[in-house]
Amino acid sequence: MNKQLCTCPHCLTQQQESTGAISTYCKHCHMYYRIEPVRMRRVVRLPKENRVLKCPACEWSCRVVSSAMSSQCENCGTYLDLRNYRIVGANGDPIFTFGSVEFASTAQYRSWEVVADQIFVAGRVHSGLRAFTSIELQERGSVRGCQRAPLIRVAERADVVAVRIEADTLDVQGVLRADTIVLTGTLKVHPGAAVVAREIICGGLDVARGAALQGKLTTQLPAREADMLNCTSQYDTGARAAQSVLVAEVSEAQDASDSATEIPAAQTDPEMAGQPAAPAESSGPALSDMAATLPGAPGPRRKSAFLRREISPHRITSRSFFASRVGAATPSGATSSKSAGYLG
Amino acid sequence: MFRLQHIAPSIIGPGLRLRGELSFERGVIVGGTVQGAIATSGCVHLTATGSVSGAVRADAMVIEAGGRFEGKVTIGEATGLLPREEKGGPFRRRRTA
Repeated sequence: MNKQLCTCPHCLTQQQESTGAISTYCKHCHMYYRIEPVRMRRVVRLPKENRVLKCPACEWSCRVVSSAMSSQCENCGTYLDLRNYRIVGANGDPIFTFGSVEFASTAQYRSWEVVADQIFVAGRVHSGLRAFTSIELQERGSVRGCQRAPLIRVAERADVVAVRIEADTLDVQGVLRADTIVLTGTLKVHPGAAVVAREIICGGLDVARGAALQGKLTTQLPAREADMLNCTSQYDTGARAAQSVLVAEVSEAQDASDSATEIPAAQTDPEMAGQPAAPAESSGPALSDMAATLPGAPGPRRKSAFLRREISPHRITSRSFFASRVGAATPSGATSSKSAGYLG
Repeated sequence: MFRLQHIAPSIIGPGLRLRGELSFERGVIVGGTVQGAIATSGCVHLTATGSVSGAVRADAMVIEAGGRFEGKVTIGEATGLLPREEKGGPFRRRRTA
Protein backbone atom coordinates (compact mmCIF):
# COMPACT_ATOMS: atom_id res chain seq x y z
CA MET A 1 0.00 0.00 0.00
CA ASN A 2 2.06 2.92 1.30
CA LYS A 3 5.41 1.73 0.02
CA GLN A 4 8.00 3.35 -2.09
CA LEU A 5 10.85 1.91 -4.06
CA CYS A 6 14.25 3.08 -2.79
CA THR A 7 17.60 2.65 -4.51
CA CYS A 8 20.74 2.21 -2.51
CA PRO A 9 23.34 4.83 -3.59
CA HIS A 10 26.14 2.41 -2.85
CA CYS A 11 25.13 -0.80 -4.61
CA LEU A 12 22.11 0.43 -6.58
CA THR A 13 19.94 -2.29 -5.12
CA GLN A 14 16.28 -1.45 -4.94
CA GLN A 15 14.09 -2.26 -2.00
CA GLN A 16 10.68 -1.39 -0.69
CA GLU A 17 10.36 1.06 2.15
CA SER A 18 7.53 2.79 3.81
CA THR A 19 6.58 6.17 2.44
CA GLY A 20 7.18 7.65 5.87
CA ALA A 21 10.73 6.37 6.13
CA ILE A 22 13.47 8.96 6.08
CA SER A 23 16.42 6.59 6.14
CA THR A 24 17.19 2.88 5.98
CA TYR A 25 19.86 0.24 5.69
CA CYS A 26 20.39 -1.48 2.41
CA LYS A 27 19.41 -5.12 2.61
CA HIS A 28 22.17 -6.04 0.21
CA CYS A 29 25.22 -4.07 1.30
CA HIS A 30 23.96 -3.07 4.74
CA MET A 31 24.95 0.53 4.17
CA TYR A 32 23.02 3.30 5.73
CA TYR A 33 21.50 5.90 3.45
CA ARG A 34 18.90 8.62 3.62
CA ILE A 35 15.69 8.54 1.70
CA GLU A 36 14.25 11.53 -0.01
CA PRO A 37 10.90 12.01 1.67
CA VAL A 38 8.04 11.42 -0.66
CA ARG A 39 5.40 14.01 -0.21
CA MET A 40 2.20 12.19 -0.83
CA ARG A 41 -0.52 14.42 -2.04
CA ARG A 42 -2.93 14.48 0.78
CA VAL A 43 -6.51 14.25 -0.26
CA VAL A 44 -8.98 15.72 2.10
CA ARG A 45 -12.08 13.65 2.04
CA LEU A 46 -15.01 15.51 3.39
CA PRO A 47 -18.33 13.79 3.22
CA LYS A 48 -20.80 15.42 0.92
CA GLU A 49 -23.90 16.84 2.40
CA ASN A 50 -26.03 15.49 -0.34
CA ARG A 51 -29.17 14.43 1.40
CA VAL A 52 -31.88 16.99 1.83
CA LEU A 53 -34.43 16.61 4.59
CA LYS A 54 -37.21 18.78 5.79
CA CYS A 55 -37.34 19.26 9.48
CA PRO A 56 -40.60 17.88 10.84
CA ALA A 57 -40.84 20.73 13.32
CA CYS A 58 -40.02 23.83 11.28
CA GLU A 59 -39.89 22.60 7.67
CA TRP A 60 -36.36 23.87 7.31
CA SER A 61 -34.44 22.16 4.52
CA CYS A 62 -31.46 20.51 6.10
CA ARG A 63 -28.57 19.07 4.15
CA VAL A 64 -27.06 16.07 5.80
CA VAL A 65 -24.43 13.56 4.88
CA SER A 66 -25.95 10.56 3.22
CA SER A 67 -24.19 8.20 5.58
CA ALA A 68 -25.22 10.07 8.72
CA MET A 69 -27.28 8.18 11.24
CA SER A 70 -28.64 11.22 13.00
CA SER A 71 -28.58 14.94 12.70
CA GLN A 72 -30.06 18.10 14.09
CA CYS A 73 -32.08 20.72 12.35
CA GLU A 74 -29.92 23.72 11.56
CA ASN A 75 -32.81 26.03 12.32
CA CYS A 76 -34.53 24.71 15.42
CA GLY A 77 -32.22 21.97 16.65
CA THR A 78 -34.75 19.18 16.42
CA TYR A 79 -33.20 15.74 16.54
CA LEU A 80 -33.49 13.91 13.22
CA ASP A 81 -33.16 10.18 13.27
CA LEU A 82 -31.73 8.92 10.00
CA ARG A 83 -31.18 5.30 10.88
CA ASN A 84 -32.64 2.30 9.16
CA TYR A 85 -34.50 -0.16 11.30
CA ARG A 86 -35.21 -3.80 10.86
CA ILE A 87 -37.73 -5.35 13.19
CA VAL A 88 -37.31 -9.07 13.48
CA GLY A 89 -39.23 -10.01 16.61
CA ALA A 90 -42.01 -8.83 18.83
CA ASN A 91 -41.69 -5.14 19.34
CA GLY A 92 -43.75 -2.11 20.08
CA ASP A 93 -41.32 0.78 20.29
CA PRO A 94 -42.41 3.89 18.42
CA ILE A 95 -40.32 4.66 15.36
CA PHE A 96 -39.88 8.04 13.76
CA THR A 97 -37.00 8.04 11.33
CA PHE A 98 -35.97 9.48 8.03
CA GLY A 99 -34.43 6.17 7.12
CA SER A 100 -36.15 2.96 6.19
CA VAL A 101 -38.01 0.48 8.31
CA GLU A 102 -38.28 -3.17 7.44
CA PHE A 103 -40.56 -5.56 9.23
CA ALA A 104 -39.11 -9.00 8.69
CA SER A 105 -41.30 -12.03 8.23
CA THR A 106 -40.83 -12.92 11.88
CA ALA A 107 -41.76 -9.47 13.12
CA GLN A 108 -44.79 -8.85 15.26
CA TYR A 109 -45.06 -5.17 15.75
CA ARG A 110 -47.77 -3.42 17.68
CA SER A 111 -47.69 0.29 18.19
CA TRP A 112 -49.51 3.49 17.42
CA GLU A 113 -47.72 4.67 14.31
CA VAL A 114 -44.50 4.15 12.41
CA VAL A 115 -43.09 7.09 10.48
CA ALA A 116 -40.24 6.53 8.06
CA ASP A 117 -38.98 7.32 4.61
CA GLN A 118 -39.63 3.86 3.26
CA ILE A 119 -41.44 1.01 4.94
CA PHE A 120 -41.23 -2.64 3.94
CA VAL A 121 -43.61 -5.04 5.60
CA ALA A 122 -43.19 -8.80 5.49
CA GLY A 123 -44.36 -9.56 9.01
CA ARG A 124 -47.35 -8.75 11.13
CA VAL A 125 -47.90 -5.13 11.94
CA HIS A 126 -50.68 -3.77 14.07
CA SER A 127 -49.90 -0.12 13.67
CA GLY A 128 -50.43 2.86 11.49
CA LEU A 129 -47.79 3.35 8.85
CA ARG A 130 -46.73 6.67 7.41
CA ALA A 131 -43.97 6.89 4.84
CA PHE A 132 -42.50 9.88 3.11
CA THR A 133 -41.70 7.88 -0.02
CA SER A 134 -43.38 4.50 -0.20
CA ILE A 135 -44.84 1.57 1.66
CA GLU A 136 -44.31 -1.90 0.29
CA LEU A 137 -46.38 -4.73 1.67
CA GLN A 138 -44.58 -7.89 0.76
CA GLU A 139 -45.54 -11.51 0.65
CA ARG A 140 -47.01 -12.75 3.93
CA GLY A 141 -47.09 -9.19 5.13
CA SER A 142 -50.07 -8.28 7.21
CA VAL A 143 -50.95 -4.80 8.33
CA ARG A 144 -53.79 -3.66 10.50
CA GLY A 145 -53.95 0.08 10.60
CA CYS A 146 -53.96 3.27 8.60
CA GLN A 147 -51.38 3.76 5.91
CA ARG A 148 -50.24 7.00 4.38
CA ALA A 149 -47.62 7.33 1.69
CA PRO A 150 -47.25 8.74 -1.80
CA LEU A 151 -46.88 5.21 -3.15
CA ILE A 152 -48.27 2.07 -1.60
CA ARG A 153 -47.58 -1.30 -3.14
CA VAL A 154 -49.29 -4.49 -2.10
CA ALA A 155 -47.19 -7.36 -3.36
CA GLU A 156 -48.45 -10.69 -4.55
CA ARG A 157 -49.82 -12.98 -1.82
CA ALA A 158 -49.86 -10.19 0.69
CA ASP A 159 -52.99 -9.90 2.78
CA VAL A 160 -53.65 -6.45 4.10
CA VAL A 161 -56.47 -5.15 6.18
CA ALA A 162 -56.37 -1.43 6.60
CA VAL A 163 -58.81 0.94 8.14
CA ARG A 164 -57.87 3.83 5.92
CA ILE A 165 -55.39 4.17 3.11
CA GLU A 166 -54.23 7.53 1.86
CA ALA A 167 -51.85 7.67 -1.04
CA ASP A 168 -51.14 9.16 -4.39
CA THR A 169 -50.87 5.82 -6.13
CA LEU A 170 -51.96 2.41 -4.94
CA ASP A 171 -50.63 -0.62 -6.72
CA VAL A 172 -52.25 -3.89 -5.67
CA GLN A 173 -51.05 -7.34 -6.61
CA GLY A 174 -52.31 -9.14 -3.52
CA VAL A 175 -55.43 -8.87 -1.42
CA LEU A 176 -56.40 -5.61 0.16
CA ARG A 177 -59.37 -5.02 2.39
CA ALA A 178 -59.91 -1.53 3.58
CA ASP A 179 -62.61 0.60 4.98
CA THR A 180 -61.72 3.73 3.05
CA ILE A 181 -59.22 4.28 0.29
CA VAL A 182 -58.43 7.86 -0.63
CA LEU A 183 -56.14 8.36 -3.60
CA THR A 184 -55.19 11.47 -5.43
CA GLY A 185 -53.86 9.35 -8.27
CA THR A 186 -54.63 5.96 -9.70
CA LEU A 187 -55.71 2.69 -8.18
CA LYS A 188 -54.15 -0.13 -10.13
CA VAL A 189 -55.30 -3.69 -9.54
CA HIS A 190 -53.30 -6.40 -11.25
CA PRO A 191 -54.69 -9.74 -12.45
CA GLY A 192 -55.24 -12.08 -9.54
CA ALA A 193 -55.40 -9.26 -7.05
CA ALA A 194 -58.44 -8.23 -5.09
CA VAL A 195 -59.53 -5.02 -3.46
CA VAL A 196 -62.56 -4.80 -1.25
CA ALA A 197 -63.35 -1.49 0.32
CA ARG A 198 -66.38 0.20 1.66
CA GLU A 199 -65.49 3.45 -0.01
CA ILE A 200 -62.93 4.19 -2.68
CA ILE A 201 -62.08 7.70 -3.74
CA CYS A 202 -59.53 7.94 -6.49
CA GLY A 203 -58.49 10.04 -9.44
CA GLY A 204 -58.18 7.15 -11.83
CA LEU A 205 -58.76 3.43 -11.95
CA ASP A 206 -57.13 0.57 -13.76
CA VAL A 207 -58.51 -2.86 -12.95
CA ALA A 208 -57.12 -5.56 -15.17
CA ARG A 209 -59.08 -8.56 -16.35
CA GLY A 210 -58.81 -11.28 -13.73
CA ALA A 211 -58.68 -8.84 -10.86
CA ALA A 212 -61.43 -8.19 -8.38
CA LEU A 213 -62.67 -4.92 -7.05
CA GLN A 214 -65.68 -4.21 -4.95
CA GLY A 215 -66.84 -1.12 -3.21
CA LYS A 216 -68.42 2.25 -3.60
CA LEU A 217 -66.28 4.16 -6.01
CA THR A 218 -66.09 7.89 -6.45
CA THR A 219 -63.64 9.57 -8.74
CA GLN A 220 -64.45 13.11 -7.83
CA LEU A 221 -63.17 14.08 -4.44
CA PRO A 222 -65.94 15.21 -2.13
CA ALA A 223 -65.61 18.68 -0.71
CA ARG A 224 -64.63 17.32 2.68
CA GLU A 225 -61.83 15.20 1.28
CA ALA A 226 -60.68 17.99 -1.00
CA ASP A 227 -60.51 20.28 1.98
CA MET A 228 -58.41 17.73 3.75
CA LEU A 229 -56.05 17.49 0.84
CA ASN A 230 -55.58 21.20 0.46
CA CYS A 231 -56.23 22.49 3.93
CA THR A 232 -53.56 24.86 5.13
CA SER A 233 -55.34 27.39 7.26
CA GLN A 234 -57.05 25.72 10.14
CA TYR A 235 -54.02 23.86 11.41
CA ASP A 236 -50.86 25.49 12.51
CA THR A 237 -47.56 25.04 10.80
CA GLY A 238 -46.21 22.71 13.40
CA ALA A 239 -48.89 20.14 12.90
CA ARG A 240 -48.54 20.26 9.16
CA ALA A 241 -44.81 20.17 9.39
CA ALA A 242 -44.98 16.97 11.36
CA GLN A 243 -46.31 15.35 8.23
CA SER A 244 -43.85 16.97 5.91
CA VAL A 245 -42.30 15.19 3.04
CA LEU A 246 -38.79 14.01 2.76
CA VAL A 247 -37.24 15.79 -0.15
CA ALA A 248 -35.69 13.47 -2.63
CA GLU A 249 -32.06 12.87 -2.19
CA VAL A 250 -29.63 14.50 -4.52
CA SER A 251 -28.78 12.32 -7.43
CA GLU A 252 -25.05 12.37 -6.97
CA ALA A 253 -25.34 10.76 -3.59
CA GLN A 254 -24.16 7.51 -5.11
CA ASP A 255 -20.58 8.62 -5.38
CA ALA A 256 -20.48 10.41 -2.06
CA SER A 257 -17.93 8.12 -0.55
CA ASP A 258 -15.72 8.07 -3.63
CA SER A 259 -15.50 11.69 -4.45
CA ALA A 260 -13.34 14.15 -2.55
CA THR A 261 -14.16 17.74 -1.86
CA GLU A 262 -12.52 20.40 0.16
CA ILE A 263 -15.40 22.79 0.44
CA PRO A 264 -18.71 21.72 1.89
CA ALA A 265 -21.40 21.81 -0.73
CA ALA A 266 -23.67 23.87 1.46
CA GLN A 267 -21.33 26.86 1.26
CA THR A 268 -21.38 26.99 -2.48
CA ASP A 269 -24.93 25.98 -3.13
CA PRO A 270 -26.99 29.02 -4.04
CA GLU A 271 -30.10 27.13 -3.12
CA MET A 272 -28.98 26.78 0.43
CA ALA A 273 -27.62 30.29 0.54
CA GLY A 274 -30.96 31.71 -0.42
CA GLN A 275 -32.87 29.79 2.15
CA PRO A 276 -35.69 31.79 3.64
CA ALA A 277 -35.49 32.89 7.21
CA ALA A 278 -39.01 31.83 7.94
CA PRO A 279 -40.24 28.31 7.35
CA ALA A 280 -41.44 28.06 3.80
CA GLU A 281 -44.62 26.39 2.68
CA SER A 282 -44.14 22.81 1.77
CA SER A 283 -43.88 22.31 -1.94
CA GLY A 284 -44.29 18.54 -1.72
CA PRO A 285 -47.33 16.61 -2.74
CA ALA A 286 -50.62 17.47 -1.19
CA LEU A 287 -50.56 14.19 0.64
CA SER A 288 -48.39 15.61 3.37
CA ASP A 289 -50.92 18.24 4.16
CA MET A 290 -53.68 15.74 3.83
CA ALA A 291 -52.11 13.51 6.41
CA ALA A 292 -51.64 16.39 8.79
CA THR A 293 -55.20 17.51 8.62
CA LEU A 294 -56.86 14.18 8.98
CA PRO A 295 -58.78 13.40 12.12
CA GLY A 296 -56.45 11.86 14.61
CA ALA A 297 -53.36 13.47 13.21
CA PRO A 298 -50.97 14.46 15.96
CA GLY A 299 -51.19 18.06 16.99
CA PRO A 300 -48.22 20.22 17.84
CA ARG A 301 -47.99 19.22 21.48
CA ARG A 302 -48.38 15.58 20.82
CA LYS A 303 -45.97 15.73 17.92
CA SER A 304 -43.24 17.20 20.02
CA ALA A 305 -43.81 14.56 22.63
CA PHE A 306 -43.59 11.96 19.94
CA LEU A 307 -40.32 13.30 18.72
CA ARG A 308 -38.83 13.20 22.16
CA ARG A 309 -39.40 9.51 22.48
CA GLU A 310 -36.36 7.60 21.47
CA ILE A 311 -35.65 3.96 21.26
CA SER A 312 -33.42 2.74 24.01
CA PRO A 313 -29.90 2.28 22.66
CA HIS A 314 -29.39 -1.14 24.19
CA ARG A 315 -32.00 -2.55 21.87
CA ILE A 316 -30.29 -1.36 18.75
CA THR A 317 -27.35 -3.05 17.17
CA SER A 318 -25.67 -2.00 13.99
CA ARG A 319 -25.63 -4.26 11.03
CA SER A 320 -24.74 -3.49 7.49
CA PHE A 321 -26.57 -5.91 5.28
CA PHE A 322 -29.82 -4.05 5.43
CA ALA A 323 -27.99 -1.07 4.04
CA SER A 324 -27.38 -2.93 0.80
CA ARG A 325 -31.02 -3.89 0.65
CA VAL A 326 -32.12 -0.35 1.13
CA GLY A 327 -29.56 0.80 -1.36
CA ALA A 328 -31.07 -1.50 -3.92
CA ALA A 329 -34.50 -0.15 -3.23
CA THR A 330 -33.41 3.46 -3.36
CA PRO A 331 -32.79 4.75 -6.86
CA SER A 332 -30.03 7.06 -5.81
CA GLY A 333 -28.58 4.54 -3.43
CA ALA A 334 -27.91 7.34 -1.03
CA THR A 335 -28.89 5.39 2.01
CA SER A 336 -26.78 2.42 1.15
CA SER A 337 -23.99 3.36 3.45
CA LYS A 338 -26.17 3.82 6.46
CA SER A 339 -26.21 1.19 9.10
CA ALA A 340 -29.35 -0.43 10.28
CA GLY A 341 -30.84 -0.45 13.73
CA TYR A 342 -32.31 -3.71 14.90
CA LEU A 343 -35.21 -3.99 17.20
CA GLY A 344 -36.77 -6.94 18.82
CA MET B 1 -68.86 -10.35 -43.68
CA PHE B 2 -67.26 -7.69 -41.54
CA ARG B 3 -68.60 -7.96 -38.03
CA LEU B 4 -67.90 -4.90 -35.93
CA GLN B 5 -68.85 -6.37 -32.59
CA HIS B 6 -65.93 -8.80 -32.68
CA ILE B 7 -63.28 -6.18 -32.86
CA ALA B 8 -64.57 -3.25 -30.83
CA PRO B 9 -66.65 -2.69 -27.75
CA SER B 10 -69.65 -0.43 -27.72
CA ILE B 11 -68.94 3.27 -27.61
CA ILE B 12 -70.94 5.96 -25.88
CA GLY B 13 -69.53 9.08 -27.42
CA PRO B 14 -69.21 12.51 -25.87
CA GLY B 15 -72.50 14.36 -25.84
CA LEU B 16 -74.54 11.21 -25.60
CA ARG B 17 -76.65 10.81 -22.47
CA LEU B 18 -78.17 7.52 -21.47
CA ARG B 19 -80.39 6.71 -18.53
CA GLY B 20 -81.36 3.29 -17.28
CA GLU B 21 -79.86 -0.16 -16.99
CA LEU B 22 -77.42 -0.91 -19.76
CA SER B 23 -75.95 -4.22 -20.75
CA PHE B 24 -73.05 -4.76 -23.12
CA GLU B 25 -71.54 -7.94 -24.44
CA ARG B 26 -68.03 -6.89 -25.18
CA GLY B 27 -67.39 -3.97 -22.97
CA VAL B 28 -68.09 -0.32 -23.43
CA ILE B 29 -66.17 2.89 -23.84
CA VAL B 30 -67.97 5.71 -22.12
CA GLY B 31 -67.23 9.19 -23.30
CA GLY B 32 -70.69 10.55 -22.61
CA THR B 33 -72.98 10.47 -19.62
CA VAL B 34 -74.65 7.39 -18.21
CA GLN B 35 -77.11 7.45 -15.35
CA GLY B 36 -77.84 3.91 -14.37
CA ALA B 37 -76.32 0.52 -14.00
CA ILE B 38 -73.87 -0.96 -16.46
CA ALA B 39 -73.33 -4.68 -16.79
CA THR B 40 -70.86 -6.23 -19.17
CA SER B 41 -68.60 -9.21 -19.47
CA GLY B 42 -65.91 -7.03 -20.93
CA CYS B 43 -64.19 -3.87 -19.88
CA VAL B 44 -65.76 -0.58 -18.94
CA HIS B 45 -63.50 2.20 -20.10
CA LEU B 46 -64.41 5.60 -18.79
CA THR B 47 -62.66 8.34 -20.70
CA ALA B 48 -61.79 11.80 -19.46
CA THR B 49 -65.06 13.19 -20.79
CA GLY B 50 -67.17 10.33 -19.52
CA SER B 51 -69.46 10.31 -16.55
CA VAL B 52 -71.21 7.37 -14.94
CA SER B 53 -73.42 7.38 -11.90
CA GLY B 54 -74.67 3.96 -11.04
CA ALA B 55 -73.56 0.45 -10.32
CA VAL B 56 -71.09 -1.24 -12.60
CA ARG B 57 -70.50 -4.95 -12.94
CA ALA B 58 -67.73 -5.89 -15.33
CA ASP B 59 -64.63 -7.97 -15.82
CA ALA B 60 -62.28 -5.05 -16.02
CA MET B 61 -62.49 -1.32 -15.66
CA VAL B 62 -60.39 1.67 -16.53
CA ILE B 63 -61.11 5.21 -15.48
CA GLU B 64 -58.97 7.86 -17.04
CA ALA B 65 -58.03 10.96 -15.13
CA GLY B 66 -60.94 13.36 -15.42
CA GLY B 67 -63.57 10.69 -15.83
CA ARG B 68 -66.35 10.92 -13.31
CA PHE B 69 -67.80 7.93 -11.58
CA GLU B 70 -70.01 7.46 -8.60
CA GLY B 71 -71.54 4.20 -7.60
CA LYS B 72 -70.93 0.68 -6.56
CA VAL B 73 -68.36 -1.32 -8.47
CA THR B 74 -68.05 -5.05 -8.78
CA ILE B 75 -65.18 -6.12 -10.95
CA GLY B 76 -64.33 -9.77 -11.41
CA GLU B 77 -65.06 -12.39 -8.83
CA ALA B 78 -64.46 -11.27 -5.29
CA THR B 79 -66.52 -14.09 -3.86
CA GLY B 80 -63.75 -15.31 -1.62
CA LEU B 81 -63.74 -12.03 0.14
CA LEU B 82 -67.41 -11.31 0.16
CA PRO B 83 -68.70 -13.57 2.95
CA ARG B 84 -66.36 -12.06 5.45
CA GLU B 85 -67.41 -8.65 4.30
CA GLU B 86 -71.07 -9.44 4.56
CA LYS B 87 -70.77 -10.87 8.03
CA GLY B 88 -69.63 -7.59 9.35
CA GLY B 89 -66.43 -7.01 7.51
CA PRO B 90 -62.88 -7.27 8.65
CA PHE B 91 -63.31 -4.27 10.86
CA ARG B 92 -65.89 -5.54 13.25
CA ARG B 93 -64.85 -5.14 16.82
CA ARG B 94 -64.89 -7.74 19.49
CA ARG B 95 -67.57 -7.20 21.97
CA THR B 96 -66.33 -6.65 25.42
CA ALA B 97 -68.59 -7.33 28.32
